[in-house]
Amino acid sequence: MKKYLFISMLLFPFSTYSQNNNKQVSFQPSLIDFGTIPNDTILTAKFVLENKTKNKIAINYVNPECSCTSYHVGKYMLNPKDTTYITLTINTAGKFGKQKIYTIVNYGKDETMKKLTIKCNVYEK
Amino acid sequence: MNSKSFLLGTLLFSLSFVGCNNVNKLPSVVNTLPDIQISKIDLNKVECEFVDASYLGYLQFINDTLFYIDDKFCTIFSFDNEGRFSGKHLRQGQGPNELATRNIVGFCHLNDDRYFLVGPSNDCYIFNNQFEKESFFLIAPNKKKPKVSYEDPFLYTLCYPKLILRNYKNIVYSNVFCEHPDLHMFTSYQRYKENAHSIVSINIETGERTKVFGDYPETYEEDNTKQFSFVNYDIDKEGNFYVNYEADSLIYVYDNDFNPITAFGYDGKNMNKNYSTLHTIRDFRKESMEQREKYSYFTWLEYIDEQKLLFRSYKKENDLGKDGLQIYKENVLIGDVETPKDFKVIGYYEPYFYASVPIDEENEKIVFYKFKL
Repeated sequence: MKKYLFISMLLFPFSTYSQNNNKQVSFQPSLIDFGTIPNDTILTAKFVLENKTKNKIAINYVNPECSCTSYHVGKYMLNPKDTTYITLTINTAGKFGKQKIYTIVNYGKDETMKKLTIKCNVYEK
Repeated sequence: MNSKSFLLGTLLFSLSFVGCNNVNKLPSVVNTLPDIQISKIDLNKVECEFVDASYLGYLQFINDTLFYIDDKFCTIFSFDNEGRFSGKHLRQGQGPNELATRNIVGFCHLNDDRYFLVGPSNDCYIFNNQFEKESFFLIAPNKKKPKVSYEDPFLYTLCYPKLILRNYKNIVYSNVFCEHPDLHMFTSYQRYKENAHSIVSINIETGERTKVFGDYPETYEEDNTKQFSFVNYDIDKEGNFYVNYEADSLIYVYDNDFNPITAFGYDGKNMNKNYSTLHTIRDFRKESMEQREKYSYFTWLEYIDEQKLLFRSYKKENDLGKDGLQIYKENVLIGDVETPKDFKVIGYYEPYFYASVPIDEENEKIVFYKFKL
């Protein structure tokens, strides 16, 4: 029977990082480690993004690197001070051993890119 | 004709076929005694300036510039030989300075100073030295019904887990493996290692895979080598190939038509090659990565034309915390030194050799090394 694991990461800090330090938006490279799990687990991770700038921000696209990953975006346009979420769902069937699965998010007028990372160690049941 | 002449003639006639059977097979081994003059190298560690990147990907050193290929963000950062940021090139998109792909899986500097990039779907891009797109093509699928044969280049897949692209004139070469359901290594490993090839040539004007070559050596007669079957190779400025298989101590040299020239080489120090046999695809998928972490094998080959030196990196036993680097000059082993883990020589710019180590994703650092001999 498939096992479901769900983790919600609330309110990514808006630690503003970019080469231009005047920018007030950052999407922290986020990593969720699900630890050791059996190989028929469906992983679900929810990331919350908050727009702390005074401008609207669009999420341009979400790009999982693996076909094992599907995603859902709450909304693609964020008003100032608005929040949304990105949920990643990963099917670990067929995977073995240590895994690092990446999803790239592109947002804003400058097309800033950030990665979301999911880690796990898959064993065979 | 007397009987002696007849026997001699028969012998000579038979011997004349020995060369024919060895066409495109392995060169003969000519191992000269090592002359180890170099047992240690002093490494200068250089940290690159911070850039907003994924900190995934790999490094290449071209002329006097270090390139960081950010494969997830599809961007290339350049740094000078002191690690100072000098440029950011490309991004995802459809524009003239953009890549319409998810990842940069392969990157190769062409002899005419252009760049060749490969995406995850056999999509290929050529950019000029200003990173302006010149052309795009898909590595051509076979339009005819493919003949099921190890000699058919269309039945081979680019070796995406460890893609090595090299260039000579207008041909790009890539390491490959055969995934065809009737021919892959798990249908018959014996047949695979006797007949499969490991390198393909790609005509970058037509996108056609023109030829496959490279034969697995005797080391691969053992059934416990499947998980170490990748090839390392480089091409010198005359077009000669230097080829090494991960589990094999030898380096094979071929001319540009892949005619055998010579073979030489020794195992490195503290190499644990007591590999376990993985019989099934299931075992392979489950355990191959673990075995590659635990056991030793050769990891990289780089020929430096300016110094006529061949560098070969190898993985020592896992618990030693260090790896090794062999240095060959004119086919003679002149050095075997300890290095940081996963150390690879990637270029030369007088007076230094340049080497990469894996990018530190967690701490978001790019570090490379310079050394002299």
